Amino acid sequence: MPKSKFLSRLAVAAACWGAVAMPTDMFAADKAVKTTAPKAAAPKSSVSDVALSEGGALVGKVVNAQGKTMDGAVVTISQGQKQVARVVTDEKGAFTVTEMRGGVYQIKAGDGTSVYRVWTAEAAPPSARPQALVVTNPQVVRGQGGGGGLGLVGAGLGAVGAGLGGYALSESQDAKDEADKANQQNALLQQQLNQALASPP
Amino acid sequence: MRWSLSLRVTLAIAVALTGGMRGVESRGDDGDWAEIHESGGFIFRSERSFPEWRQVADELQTLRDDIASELGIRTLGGEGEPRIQINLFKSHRTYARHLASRAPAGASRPACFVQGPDLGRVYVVHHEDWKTNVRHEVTHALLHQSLPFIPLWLDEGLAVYFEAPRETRAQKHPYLSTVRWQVRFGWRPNLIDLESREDLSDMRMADYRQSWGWVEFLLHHSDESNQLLRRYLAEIESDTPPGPLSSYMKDSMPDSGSAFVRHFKSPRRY
Repeated sequence: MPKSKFLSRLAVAAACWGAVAMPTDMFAADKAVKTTAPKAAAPKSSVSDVALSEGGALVGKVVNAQGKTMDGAVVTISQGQKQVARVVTDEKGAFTVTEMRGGVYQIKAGDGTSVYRVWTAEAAPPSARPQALVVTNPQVVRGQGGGGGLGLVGAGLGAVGAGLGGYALSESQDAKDEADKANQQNALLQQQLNQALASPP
Repeated sequence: MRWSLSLRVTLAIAVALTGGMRGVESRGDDGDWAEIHESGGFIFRSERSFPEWRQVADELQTLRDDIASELGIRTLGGEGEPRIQINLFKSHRTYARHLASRAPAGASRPACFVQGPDLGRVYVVHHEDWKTNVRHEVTHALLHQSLPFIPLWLDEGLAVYFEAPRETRAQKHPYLSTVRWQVRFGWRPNLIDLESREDLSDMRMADYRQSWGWVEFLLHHSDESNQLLRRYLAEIESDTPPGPLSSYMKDSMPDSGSAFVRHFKSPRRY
């Protein structure tokens, strides 16, 4: 068979294979997904209330994801882009920042960040907590192991936590977007809080 | 028009490659979901037909209510509150492929839960025991929505407890007979040792069983033990770290180990 004829037939065969191998919807609109999921609003950002002590001090604690107190943890307190305080936790994981004023603050220790509306003792609502809490390494991973009749627990589970660091990275853009949204909301809350604090009783 | 041979070959190769590449591109980062449903704060994404999704949604809402009432904590799921995403895969192969780019080490597990910055995500292979796995992982998700932290052993103990269907949870749990026989043959619990587990890789089968045992004991031994667990969780919920449970109950239940043994040796009273 002449070479050119062979190549022609090969070309035709390849085209046919490509057509068969292609998903049938290649030129169709995006595959219809059966869905009953409405477009839901984004969840509210998590901001908690905390009251200053009578002397105007902010008291807090740093723990890990197990609830174990973290001594020697560096805690930074910021308002917007400005850092207003930096302290280190004691042997009980506790920290104190004196001469604080009311407002919205980000309190960060390790990988954990908590956002608090800080109130003076006189103005604090009943729901305000007496101390702030920061959970370091808040990324939580759990894998089926003991229940469900599967009974598979191995050293590989230890890699789940490490491996999921990759997951955290892949979600970092979402986290950034969420953080930007939270910052905008916090700025608005701070403005409202400052107005409330400035108003005469 | 007569096309040159080289042009025809080039075109054929291009068509074939395009078809193959399309097959890769069709599995985007969001997987290849046949169905997506949302109800009551739960988002279901399934790779295969999922006609029973409403029933499962109802069961999970019941689970959420049970956790709230039995543990005394406030569970979320209302309008504007964080949701839980449940991803169901038709095979372990697609499950592993989906997790490969997100949580490579989790790909070998039949199910897992990841608390993300935006919402909790549950990943389950849709096979035998999948409902048990869903309940187990969703329990983790619900607990982590409500609590800023939770000791690993208690997290797993509660997940194993609530993974059982409501009707078998307290009286016919799969671990009940094993723990009862263990106690009869002289095994004794060690909560302090259990509390030393900080990483999932540290947990062994026996640890899951003992964790469940402590949860079952605290919830059902007496009003005092029940209230003790509820107070402990309430303190966590209020951002007040209560410390290890073994220390927390030293004053009110100094003989908790003996009480544990009596609980599992005695005939069932409920």
